[in-house]
Amino acid sequence: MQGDRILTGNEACTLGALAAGMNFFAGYPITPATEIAELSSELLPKRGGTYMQMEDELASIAAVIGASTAGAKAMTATSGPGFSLMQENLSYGMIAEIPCVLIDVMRQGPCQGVATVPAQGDFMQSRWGTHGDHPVIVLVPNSVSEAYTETIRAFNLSEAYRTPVIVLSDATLAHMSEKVRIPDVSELTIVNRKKPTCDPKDYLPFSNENHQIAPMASFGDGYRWFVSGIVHDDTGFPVTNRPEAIRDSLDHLLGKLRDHLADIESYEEYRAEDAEILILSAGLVSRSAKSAIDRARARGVRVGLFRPVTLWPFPEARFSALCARAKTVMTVEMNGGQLAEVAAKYVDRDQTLRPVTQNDGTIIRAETIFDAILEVC
Amino acid sequence: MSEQHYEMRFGGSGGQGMMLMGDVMAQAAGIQEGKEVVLLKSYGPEARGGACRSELITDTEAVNYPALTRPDFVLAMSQLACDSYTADMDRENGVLLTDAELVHTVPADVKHAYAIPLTRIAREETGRPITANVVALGAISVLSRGAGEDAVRAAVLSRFPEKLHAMNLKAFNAGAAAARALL
Repeated sequence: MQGDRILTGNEACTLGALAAGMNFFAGYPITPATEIAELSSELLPKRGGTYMQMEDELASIAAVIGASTAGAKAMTATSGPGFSLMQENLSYGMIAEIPCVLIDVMRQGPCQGVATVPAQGDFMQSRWGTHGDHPVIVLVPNSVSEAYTETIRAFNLSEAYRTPVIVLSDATLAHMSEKVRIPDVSELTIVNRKKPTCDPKDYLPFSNENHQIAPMASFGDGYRWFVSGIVHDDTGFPVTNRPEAIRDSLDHLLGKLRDHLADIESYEEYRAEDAEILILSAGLVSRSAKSAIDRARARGVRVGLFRPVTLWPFPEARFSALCARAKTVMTVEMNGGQLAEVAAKYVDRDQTLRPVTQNDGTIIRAETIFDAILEVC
Repeated sequence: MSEQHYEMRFGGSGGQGMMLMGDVMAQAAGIQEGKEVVLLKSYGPEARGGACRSELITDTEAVNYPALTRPDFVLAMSQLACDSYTADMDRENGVLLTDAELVHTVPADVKHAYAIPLTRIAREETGRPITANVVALGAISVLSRGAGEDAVRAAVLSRFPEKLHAMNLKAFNAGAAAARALL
C-alpha cells in the first residue's frame, strides 16, 4: 500500500507500527485512542499477528511486556487516565529492559478531564509518571506524516535500547486526516533486537559493559533468564545487598540512553539560527508557532522555533546553544507551562522567559502567538 | 498559508454522509490533485440526526493550523446545519450551498448563496435519497475551489465498489449540471 494516502493520526500510528513489525497489540479502548486498537484488531490477525482486547490498562501493558519477552514487537495505545494506570508496569518494562511501544493520545486532564479535546498535559507524566530514576524515550509528532514515521522510530529505538518508548499524540492529531507518503518497505530502516548467539550456559541477559545493550533471548529460544522488577545484576537476579551492583544497574539504565543521545535525539529548527526570540514548542501546536514566526519575520522580528521531536531525553545541547543567543525564550504549549519549566533551566537572569499557554481544549492559534511575539520584541 | 488556501465545511445531520464527503474531497484535492489537505470531523454521539460536519482545508503549501478560521465554502444539508455552521464564513467571497428543500432560511448577507434541491435530485436520478451527498459533491466540484470536477468524480468512484459506480456517476453528474445551470 505504498504511495500517498489520506490518513488520520491514529491510522498513521497503527500503519507505522505495522510497518515497523508490530505483531502484537493489547489494549483497552479509550477516547481519543480507540481507533488504534480498532485498526490493529482488523489488520493484525490478517498478517499473522495477535490482537488482545484486555480487561483494563494494567493488563494491557502487562500483556505487551509479556509478549515482548516472547519475542513479539508489541504495542499498546491509550489516553491520560489509562496512561496513569500503566505507569507501574511501564517501570517494570524499564528496569527489566523490555522493548515495547506505548502511544498516549493526550486529551484534556486531569482525571477524566475532557475526553474529546486535545491537550499537552502529559509531557511531564511521560517523563516522571513512574517512580524511581528511569530511562525514558518520548517522541512527539506534529503531523500525521510524523505520526507514521515516529511510530516506526519508536519501535526502532525500543528494540535498539531495550526500553519502552512512548509516543505522545493528541486528540486533534489523532482524528485529523492529512496526506502521508507511505514508503516502499525497502526504503524503511527497521531495527530488531539483538539475539544471543552464545552457549545458553554463558548467557548474561543484562550484561552492560560500556552501556552496550545486551542481546535479548525470547522465551522459548532455549535460554533461561530471570525477568524481574527488582534491581538486578547482569544475570537478572536481585542485588539488594550490594551497593556497587545497585549503582551499576541504575547507572546502566540511565547511561544507555545518555551515551547514545546523538542516535536518540531528534528536533526541528525553524528560522532559529539568528533568533532573538526563541520559541520552544512540541507537537501539533508548534505548527501554529511557525505561522506566527512567518508573520513576525515579515515585520523584521528575529524569531524562530526549536521543536523537540524527541521530547525526552530533552535535546538540551542544541537548545541551550540557541538559547544562549536569544533575548527571550517563549514556550507555546497546551498546558499550564510544563515546557516553560524545562526552558527555565537554560534561561539566564538577563533573559526573559515568556510562556504562551492555553488549557481550553483548542489548538493555540497563530494570532495568539503572533501577539505574544509583538509584546516581547 | 498561501493564496491558494481554501477552507470548506460540509454540514448536515447524522446519516446524510457528511463524513464521507470530507473523505472524498480530501482524496480529490490531496491525492488526485496533489494539494496539501487537512480534514477534521466533528459529530455528536448520535448515529442519526444531530448536527455534524466535516471540515477540509486545501492549500498548495503546508497547512499549519488544522481548524477553519474563515470558511470559503459551506454546504448546509439541514436547517440546523445552516443555522449552526455559517456564522464564521466569508460573507463577501465565500460560497454557501444549501439543499433547497431542507433549508428554508439562509443568511441574507452571504453574497454567493446557491440553493439546489440535492435530495430531490438524488431521489429522481437514482431513486436513492442517500446519494444526495454525491449530488452535492457534483455541485461542489463546480461551485467551489476545493478540487476540480474530474478529481472529485474520480475520488467518488474510488470510494465505491464497481457495481455502485453507475448510480453514483449519475448522481454526481446531475449535481454538477444543476450547479452549472446556476452560474
